Amino acid sequence: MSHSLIALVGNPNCGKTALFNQLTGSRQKVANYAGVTVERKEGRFTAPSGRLFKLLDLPGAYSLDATSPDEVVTRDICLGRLPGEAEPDLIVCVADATNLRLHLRFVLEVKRLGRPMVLALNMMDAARKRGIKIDREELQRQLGMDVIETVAIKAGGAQALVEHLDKTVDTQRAQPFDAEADPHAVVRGILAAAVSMPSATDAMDDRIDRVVLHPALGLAILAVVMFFIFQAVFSWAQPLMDGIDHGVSALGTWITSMMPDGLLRSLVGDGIFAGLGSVLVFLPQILILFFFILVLEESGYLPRAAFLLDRIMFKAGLTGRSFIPLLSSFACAIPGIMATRSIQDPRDRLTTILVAPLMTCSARLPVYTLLIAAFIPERTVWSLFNLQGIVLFVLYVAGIVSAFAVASFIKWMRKDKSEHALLMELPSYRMPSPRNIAIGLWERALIFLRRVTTIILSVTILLWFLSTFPAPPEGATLPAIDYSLAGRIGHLLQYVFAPIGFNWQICVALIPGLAAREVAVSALGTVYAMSGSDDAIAAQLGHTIAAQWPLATALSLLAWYVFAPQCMSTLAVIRRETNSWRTVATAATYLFSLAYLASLLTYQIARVLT
Amino acid sequence: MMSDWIQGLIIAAAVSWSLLHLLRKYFPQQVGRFRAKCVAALRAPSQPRIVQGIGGWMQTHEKSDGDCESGCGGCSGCASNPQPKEQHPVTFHRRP
Repeated sequence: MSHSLIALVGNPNCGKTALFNQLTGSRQKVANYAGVTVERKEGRFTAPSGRLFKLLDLPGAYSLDATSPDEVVTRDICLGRLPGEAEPDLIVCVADATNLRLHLRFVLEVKRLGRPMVLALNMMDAARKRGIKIDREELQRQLGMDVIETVAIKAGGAQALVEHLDKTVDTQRAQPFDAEADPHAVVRGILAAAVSMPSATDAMDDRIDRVVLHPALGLAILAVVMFFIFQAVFSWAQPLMDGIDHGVSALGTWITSMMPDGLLRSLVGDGIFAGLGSVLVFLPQILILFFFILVLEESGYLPRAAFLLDRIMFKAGLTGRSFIPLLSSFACAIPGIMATRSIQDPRDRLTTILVAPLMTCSARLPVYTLLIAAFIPERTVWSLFNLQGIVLFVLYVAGIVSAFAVASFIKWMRKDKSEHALLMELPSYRMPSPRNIAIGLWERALIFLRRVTTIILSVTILLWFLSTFPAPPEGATLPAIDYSLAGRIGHLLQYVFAPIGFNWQICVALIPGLAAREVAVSALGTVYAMSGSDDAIAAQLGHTIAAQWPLATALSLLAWYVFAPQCMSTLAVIRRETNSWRTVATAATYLFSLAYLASLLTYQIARVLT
Repeated sequence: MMSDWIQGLIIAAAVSWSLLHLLRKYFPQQVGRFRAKCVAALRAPSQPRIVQGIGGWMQTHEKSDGDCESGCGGCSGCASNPQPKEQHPVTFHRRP
């Protein structure tokens, strides 16, 4: 069946993806800052008449004179230049109704293409709240195109647009435009004729910004917010973690008790339950961390943080534009590296790509919390702070500081003295929507569970296999795993890792940990379950390693995970985004070298002190 | 009581699935090429009909785990966005 192709275009953070989600029922990521969408997204919807529409959600652009890779995608699709992509039948230009002075300039630029187009005047609810009055009829007349009001974040907020598209998509015609006219002057004329604004900015935003953007107070607030988040990750998660831990242990014991002795029971008990169970318990901590990230994303605070950190980031060889990619890397380095497409300068982009893996991704959280819970006492500091939370905060800060240090080194190496001013839109503050937060957490939980039941499960099964075969020889005195393939590899690797305090079990866990960092935890769970005879002990991985490892080894492993590129997917994305194996080799070499050096120093110093 | 060979069969299936899953995730192009060769060999006119049928089934049940080839599983983008892969390599231009 034929369909009409519609492209959603507009300035960044005007609500294109929210509109896309509203129209197609999709759940693409939305947030209250510019640069969330960096590639084209495709969806379909059916209008009440039964007409089919194919919808393209394009990255935000300030101009069709593209300056960054994400803007190039938008420009090429609008111009019909992207190979394999048809020219859109209609362009829906989305504009933020509270910021028409900026957004109408892009509308006029798109109009100049001479394509059929409609203007979706989004965020009309926020505009009304601020007392902004828009004469839609007059705006239509001035622009020479249909103008439809939308509220993309509210159910039914795009109904008028759907009805309009349904009725008029075939009859839309391009309107003539005076190409010689100064767009700034034209916008001023349109605003004077059709829009009345009580003030250029929101009074409440200005009041909040006076505090949170204060050069000293703002940085202090940012530090307190981040510190509070890591305290909460440790303090709030424990009851839920205990619940999952007991539930998984009880289920494992019940299932294995019904199975006959043999290899299959070992696979289920020592492999699947000991391995997956040890990772699954970290779900509450991951959700608590993402709850705060989602709240900050929705509120509009994050671009302010980028603004506050711009000076520091510039001194370190980065720009404020690197902030959002680096922040995305706290979830996973992969979307973070992809988000660098919004950085115009190729050198800044490459530097950001190279340091993004140093940001503490959520996959490191299980490793960190396992080691912290096992080795750092649960003590209150100054009657207020949780010591374990402080250590976690320090590890996150260590990642940030090392990223800045590496970026400074790259800046020094390239002898770059050029300055790139940060031009960034600060969105209006918005009360986070509980529904959006709930959906975001649900999706994050599904992503985690999908990883547990696919990649972590498959690696755990393979590791169990390698830890079981070949069987020990007759008259063997050591645990069977010592004679297995995994045990032999671990003992061999120990020659390399002994100076940094890693025992052979850690060496075994590091290899599958390359598939995904948290696999190292499940791998340790499996290896210790295979080494021990008592399943109950093996199920409590934290207690086992606390009893068997010296503190210096635990600290050394924490230092290793701050730097090590224990993630093949990240290296694959660096290859794709830079189109260069040399960059991948550079990233892997410097990260492994830093990891080894940091672990060596940590281990040797800790051994002397403890 | 489950006999040893049934246990062995289940374990072999689980290990094979795990291996295949990881290979598809981290070496999608190589696995795809190998699969295409297998399909071509199985569907050769000289093969019996049943073997050709298996080749046809393999061809129609082609599936990639990580469409963006990253293997991260960190977003829903791969599943909802099965588009031709775009590359955005970092390119440097000499300053005028």
